[in-house]
Amino acid sequence: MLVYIARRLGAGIILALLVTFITFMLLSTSFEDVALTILGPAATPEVTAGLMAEKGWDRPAIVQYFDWLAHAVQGDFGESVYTSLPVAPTVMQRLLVTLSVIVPALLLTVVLSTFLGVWSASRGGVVDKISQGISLVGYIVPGLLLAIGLVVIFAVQLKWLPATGFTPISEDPGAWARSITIPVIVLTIGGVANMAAQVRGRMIDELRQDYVRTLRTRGISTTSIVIRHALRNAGSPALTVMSLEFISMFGGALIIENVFALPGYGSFAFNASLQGDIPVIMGIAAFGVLLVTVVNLTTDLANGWLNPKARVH
Amino acid sequence: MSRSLTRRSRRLTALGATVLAASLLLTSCAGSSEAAPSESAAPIEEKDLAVAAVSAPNSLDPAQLVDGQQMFVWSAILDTLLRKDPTTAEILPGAAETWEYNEDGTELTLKLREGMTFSTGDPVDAAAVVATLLRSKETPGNVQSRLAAVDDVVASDDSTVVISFSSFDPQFLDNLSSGLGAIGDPATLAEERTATDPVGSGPFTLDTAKTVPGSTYVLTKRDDYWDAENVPFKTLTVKVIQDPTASFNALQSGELNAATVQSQVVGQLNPDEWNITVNDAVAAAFLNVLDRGGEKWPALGDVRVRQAINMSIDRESMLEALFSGVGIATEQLASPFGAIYDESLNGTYEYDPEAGKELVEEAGFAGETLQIPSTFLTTTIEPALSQAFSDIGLNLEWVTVPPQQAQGAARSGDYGLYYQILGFNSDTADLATTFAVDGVGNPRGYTDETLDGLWSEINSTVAFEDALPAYQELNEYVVDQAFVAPVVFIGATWATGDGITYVGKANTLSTYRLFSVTD
Repeated sequence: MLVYIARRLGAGIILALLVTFITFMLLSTSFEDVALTILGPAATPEVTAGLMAEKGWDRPAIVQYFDWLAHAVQGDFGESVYTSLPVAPTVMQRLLVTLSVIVPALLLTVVLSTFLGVWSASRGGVVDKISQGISLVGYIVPGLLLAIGLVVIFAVQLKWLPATGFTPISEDPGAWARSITIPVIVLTIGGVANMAAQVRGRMIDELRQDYVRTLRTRGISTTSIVIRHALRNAGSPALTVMSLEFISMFGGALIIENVFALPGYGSFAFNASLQGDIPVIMGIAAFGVLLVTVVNLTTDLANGWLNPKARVH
Repeated sequence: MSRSLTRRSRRLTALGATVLAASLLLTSCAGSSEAAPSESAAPIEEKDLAVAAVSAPNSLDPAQLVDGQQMFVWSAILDTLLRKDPTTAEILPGAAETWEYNEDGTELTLKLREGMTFSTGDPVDAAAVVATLLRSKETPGNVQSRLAAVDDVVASDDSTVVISFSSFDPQFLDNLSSGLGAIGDPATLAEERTATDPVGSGPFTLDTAKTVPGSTYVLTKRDDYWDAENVPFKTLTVKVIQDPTASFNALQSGELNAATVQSQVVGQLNPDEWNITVNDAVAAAFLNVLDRGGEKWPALGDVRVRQAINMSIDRESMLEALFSGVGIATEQLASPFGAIYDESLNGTYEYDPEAGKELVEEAGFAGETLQIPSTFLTTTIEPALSQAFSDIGLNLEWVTVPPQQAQGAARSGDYGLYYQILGFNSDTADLATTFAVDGVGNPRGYTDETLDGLWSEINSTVAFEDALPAYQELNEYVVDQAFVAPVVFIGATWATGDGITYVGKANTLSTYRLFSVTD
């Protein structure tokens, strides 16, 4: 198992190297624009060239990449050229904002999807139709529209929740909870729409298996069959969907962060790209790849725990 | 509430220009605190101002300050040497009580107020101003280029700063009311906190406990600020919101009491609760001819082609269709609230594509294709401009340029044209930016005998009112030569509540002074 984990982490590191290398090469044509960002549009070509030489941006791109890498492996991702703030702590700060919305949304998605999926698969009939109806509505209604609608109702009309902004949990847990409520609801509805259908499908398949029929003939209760046996087997693909959902929520964070003016990872990445803030973009790329690697590895390990056939020795 | 439509706004514009011209005539090259800013006789009830800004400050370091809406935060913390009247854009005393140039404009003497302090309690003196300016001159950053003409800065006594220049810089005084004029605390300038939580002598201090960098900045008024009685706000909250819908929602939910709103949604705001103020001109949208000499794009070197481009643009239709009617159609770049603006120049290029086509054919460039960068700013106007060029027998080829490379594309020399939106700065800066030989908007450094003569006169005339005829002649000349094809002056609609009113007009520097309190 340890070898497997080490191998997967190794593959993740290689992936991170490849992604950061390609990202750096794509950005390497923009160093003069970065200098202009720092100096302002009125800077003369001489001053711009002087700054590029001072920062080492006039060196070959490959040399600069390995220079960046040498610092990055020591945890030094440089400073933002736009704000002069160190990249690593800033990325972590933004990441925490996004995670504080995504993690509760994911947990709620898992709980509600499992409940809905299992409920509709095991009961069928009207219950199944209601469950499918909920999934369908979640699919049809665009997240952006839903977000704006919830803001208009709960923030603008009722004034129960804030329309924008984020309060760190360390500052005021109550205000934090209020600031993430609508974003979490929006992400959860989208997530449930997708995941509940997957859980339902897998559960229906499992409940038709021979071992289920055997368990029933042995007098095992339906609840035990559904929860202890069928759900455990259906859980494996659901976990994969969950990991994909997590990564997809990260991708979709930009929209949510824009609508709710949250200072998260998505808007940070978007602004850094607009500004050509190369050290920040590199930091975001590196952290993003590592995050995806860790999520995938965790999913695989959880799959192995749920399903012995999926275990890797 | 003030809502101006085109014809009415032009009248107001003319009035504004007259007022400004008159005020400028009253101001010589020396200024004084006689015209103190926003003096009020009666005590005012202080409010909490919560305003939306589209971008967070990049840095609060005086050497790195960027103007625009980032200024809401840094100008609250860092006092500036001079100020501008929000309505007339007249330069007013700030931390510097008086200022005076020598005869040839190569030496500027600033006299500071007595009794000013930083938030630490340390005095603001000439040494602090000298330390800040010299540091900004040596530090690569947004402020550095504005100190290019400065040779030295010295303190002749505790309250007197003398700045010497290699040559007169007509824009320097205006710049002292923006980032260049910010005063840093020499005792802490070298510390890391300067970028995020600097010690300043401005009217507010940053409440770091309530501030979420990049998202929300909460600032608390300093009662020991020298002009505290004219600061009508207990707190200033700046919320960074890029999405206009989110900004509008925050306004309606009471999280903000001042924000720009899209004209389409203004009707959703209850007029009993909200003051709606339209500023018809905060920026100019125009097609800049970068290759005015026709070095790479010979067609653009021919004045007939440039004039034809101006004739091809249906400005009034574009204003309605692309800018929701908020703004003013224009054929010149000078601010309509300034003294240089000439109403009679509008009408030089009436919309007449047929006449434009004839000019292009006469010049022998029919069918010519011109490349232009396609940036995030051009998305909505591209079809209209392509159609306009097509109507006069020219073709536009839009070349996609990533946002971070947009500035570089304009300077690269690869393109003959560039669509840009330029916020108004000042009468002295706006034309220089686009038409001076070293202007950012003139990357090929184009000039000719007439331009040389006019700039020479402007750059050697210290008093603005003396240089005004040259500026006006320059404005007329660049319109005649069609070095740019202006489209519209873009307006902005402000919604303010809680007894707060937006008072910005000719000056839109983003400070709390754009807002006043009316009970």
